[in-house]
Amino acid sequence: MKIVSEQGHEASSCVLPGRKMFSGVNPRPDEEHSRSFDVRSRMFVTLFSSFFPIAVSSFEGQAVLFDASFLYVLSLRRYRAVAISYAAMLGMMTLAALFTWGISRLVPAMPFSFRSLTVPYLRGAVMLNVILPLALTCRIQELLTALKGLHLPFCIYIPGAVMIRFIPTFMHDIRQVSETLRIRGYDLGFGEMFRHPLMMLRLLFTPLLFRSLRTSEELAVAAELKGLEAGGRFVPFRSPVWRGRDTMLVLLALAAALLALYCQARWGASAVPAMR
Amino acid sequence: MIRDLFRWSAQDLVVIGVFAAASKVATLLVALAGGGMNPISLIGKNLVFTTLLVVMLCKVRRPGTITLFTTISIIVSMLLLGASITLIPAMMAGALAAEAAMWPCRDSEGVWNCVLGAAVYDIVTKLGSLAVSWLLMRENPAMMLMVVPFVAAGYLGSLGGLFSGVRAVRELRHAGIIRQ
Amino acid sequence: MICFENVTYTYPFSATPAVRDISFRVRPGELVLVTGRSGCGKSTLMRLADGLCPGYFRGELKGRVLVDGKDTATLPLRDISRQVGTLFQDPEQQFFALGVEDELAFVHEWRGQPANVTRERVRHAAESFGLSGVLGHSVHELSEGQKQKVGLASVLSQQPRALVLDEPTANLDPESTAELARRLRTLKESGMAVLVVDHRLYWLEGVADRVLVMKNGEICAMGGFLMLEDEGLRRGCGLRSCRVEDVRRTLPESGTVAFRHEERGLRVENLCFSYKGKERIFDHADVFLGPGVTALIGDNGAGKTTLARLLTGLNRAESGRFFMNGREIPDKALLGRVAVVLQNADHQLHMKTVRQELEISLQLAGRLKRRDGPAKSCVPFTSGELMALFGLSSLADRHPQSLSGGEKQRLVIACAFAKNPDVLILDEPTSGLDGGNMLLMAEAVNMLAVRGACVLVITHDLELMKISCSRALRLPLRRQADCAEGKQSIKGERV
Repeated sequence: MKIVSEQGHEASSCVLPGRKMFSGVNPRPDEEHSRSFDVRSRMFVTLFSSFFPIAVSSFEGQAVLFDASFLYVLSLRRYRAVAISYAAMLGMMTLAALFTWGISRLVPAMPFSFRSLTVPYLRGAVMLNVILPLALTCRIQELLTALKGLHLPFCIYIPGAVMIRFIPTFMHDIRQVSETLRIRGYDLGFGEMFRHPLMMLRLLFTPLLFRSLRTSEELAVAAELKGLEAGGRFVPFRSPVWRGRDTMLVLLALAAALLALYCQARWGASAVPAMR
Repeated sequence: MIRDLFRWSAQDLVVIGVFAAASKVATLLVALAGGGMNPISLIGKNLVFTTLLVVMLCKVRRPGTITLFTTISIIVSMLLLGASITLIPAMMAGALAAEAAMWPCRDSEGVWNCVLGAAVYDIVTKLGSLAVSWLLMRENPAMMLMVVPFVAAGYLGSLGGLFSGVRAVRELRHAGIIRQ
Repeated sequence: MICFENVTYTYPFSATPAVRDISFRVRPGELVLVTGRSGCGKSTLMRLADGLCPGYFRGELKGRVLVDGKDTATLPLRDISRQVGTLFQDPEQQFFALGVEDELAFVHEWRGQPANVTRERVRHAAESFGLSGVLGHSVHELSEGQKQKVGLASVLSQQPRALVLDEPTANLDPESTAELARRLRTLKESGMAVLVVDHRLYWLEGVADRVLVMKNGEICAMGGFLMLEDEGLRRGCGLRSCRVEDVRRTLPESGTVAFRHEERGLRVENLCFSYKGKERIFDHADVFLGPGVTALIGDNGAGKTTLARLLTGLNRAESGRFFMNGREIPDKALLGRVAVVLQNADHQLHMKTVRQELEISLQLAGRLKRRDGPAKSCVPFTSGELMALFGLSSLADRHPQSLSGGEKQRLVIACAFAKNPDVLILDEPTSGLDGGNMLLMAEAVNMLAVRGACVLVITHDLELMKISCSRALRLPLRRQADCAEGKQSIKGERV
């Protein structure tokens, strides 16, 4: 279940387990499997699966998409991480179901049925299935290389690369800031967070704000000294390799989408079979 | 003038990239610390995000900043964090509305035009995200009622962020880091 | 190659010039060292040489700065940077990529070099700096010395004709510093003009052809390296020593004292620790820190920072017993008795004024003491005393983030003093400090030691070691088994 409500900080992005997020450059042995796909093919599948399930509103269509995407996520062979993600998602789904049940008691015009929840839940599960392979296995440098390969304009590439480059740095900074607060004697427990949320935000994020400004100043100077400017010709020295298996992955994703559409057309557009 | 809109200095681009990273990390960590659906953490992460947005707009004073910031955030969120493409319409609508709101006073040097931009961005994004939520859950409208309080809590945080953004800019001026 | 002709420069929003009437030149094959007190205009001089002033920072320039005979005021920064390479104090801040190889390639990629040319330049740069083995690593995994090599390799791969270095040794250990000196000598011999801005002087003896000493934005002395032997000049301009004795091997060992109930200091017995999935860093090791100033000495990766974190309770030991002044204390209580100042001062400042920062530190220290029990009887500091001690009184109402690097460093150490700790651990407290500030820091630390505190200093700064430290704790620590005999006697005494 994914509640889309914020500026891109949806819940499913925050609960990816079992992964040292935003780690560095070298691949881990357990990532070799998914690394056999180029990052661009995985990106395509993620992007495609982000919007396509919205168009499908039949149970059969969603079931096809879920099955295909579930096989894709299982191909990671990170069963523990997948299981934890599913447990978190089920927790949120249960919460949503309880809430919906509560609403149905208050507003009889909105009757509660598990069946009507099926399609939205499957949509959420499909998204989780396609997000996990990208988020659990992509190394940051791999993304930077992929960005280069996309031949983006200067005004997109530079801030994108800077953003990706500094996410790990800032995470490390925040860890350091919270440590220095503990050293100083601040209580960073939940109680204090709830009693003085603004003070805690100030303590944690003021250094980050100043650090952001200083970093941007220093990096801007470095950019000038490296001669970066719009209109310059960018030639990547290393390009990601698109293999046959990447084409196969893209074709399989498209085939699953077509099959889902066929199922929807063949068996109708109702949310669940019982409703037909 | 149109050509100028696409000519960015490396300095401005770097500031936008650094702030996009800072806002992503800060909001992610607040969400992780408090749990994604906790109202306090929803308020907190929106507050931090809007504060950083106001400061960035004060630092990079040129049309297109918020649109570029949004574009970069979307691209990296999708690539790195697997954010949904469904967020794009709401965020882009918010960014474009903010640009339009800031355009008449684009040469103003004060903080209030930046606050206006951030406020418009927040409200349009929140309304847009409600619309997207409806699309995703249209089979069960009751679930929409669950989304509304969370979006409202987030918006409360955004409102707080406008005030803390002004305070942060004042403090940065006191520290001599942002100059009027 | 680089020529300053009567240069006066004023930053925007500033009423007074940062440098006044500067004239000198750096010829090909020559190394010029610029030094002076913090804020004397050294960094501005560097920015003028590489065109950042006024090219990037704007401001008003009078006189001329010539690079290869061309006026920098008329050249775009992109062209100046092809002639003059610049390396900053913290090279990591210059990196746009996360991987070493990608960082080395970055500038060539953006200059539109064909891929094979870029690959060749990366290979050559990596080979000449001994970086081939770490090409696939993240820049975060590198030591400070390696980061600097990556920065320097990246700059030199662009084949500039002059090189400008801003405090290149601030984060380096003495061995890396010596290696840098050798490399600069080679570059100089190859015809490169080199301008070095630094507080540390000793490492350039025999390498620097000329020394410029700056004071209040002007050159107050110019001459050969021997000029720095003049103590009056050094004291007057806040300079460090020009010759430094390496006391790392000669300082007496700490931690060999047998246990006594009435002892003062921090004792750790049977310390075991390893990071997840890694080899043990400490394996049944014993540590003793007595009153006074102890230097913590060890190679990169030997576990200096880890030991500091264990002694503070920031990391939990797998096993080990902690004794403070002869009494066993749980590791959770260590934070109330031990203060630690980590390297990055920016992360440790949260309030709006210097005074507030100190006052809140004093309040928090009081709260910690109440929670963990009284530590010692000596009178705690007041914020006024701390400001006076660290030379911060005139900055009381300034925003902490607006202070210079040295001032921030003093402030975070003053905040640690506010805790009135039994043990104070300082991680590189004098990196980037001029001679005057280094002495101020050393005096403050010695004063705390005289009050009975144990001070542990993690430092590469040989001068600070010489001035302040009376003994050394050397890593790797001895295993308990290696000193079993001594251990038995300790146990016997305790029984």
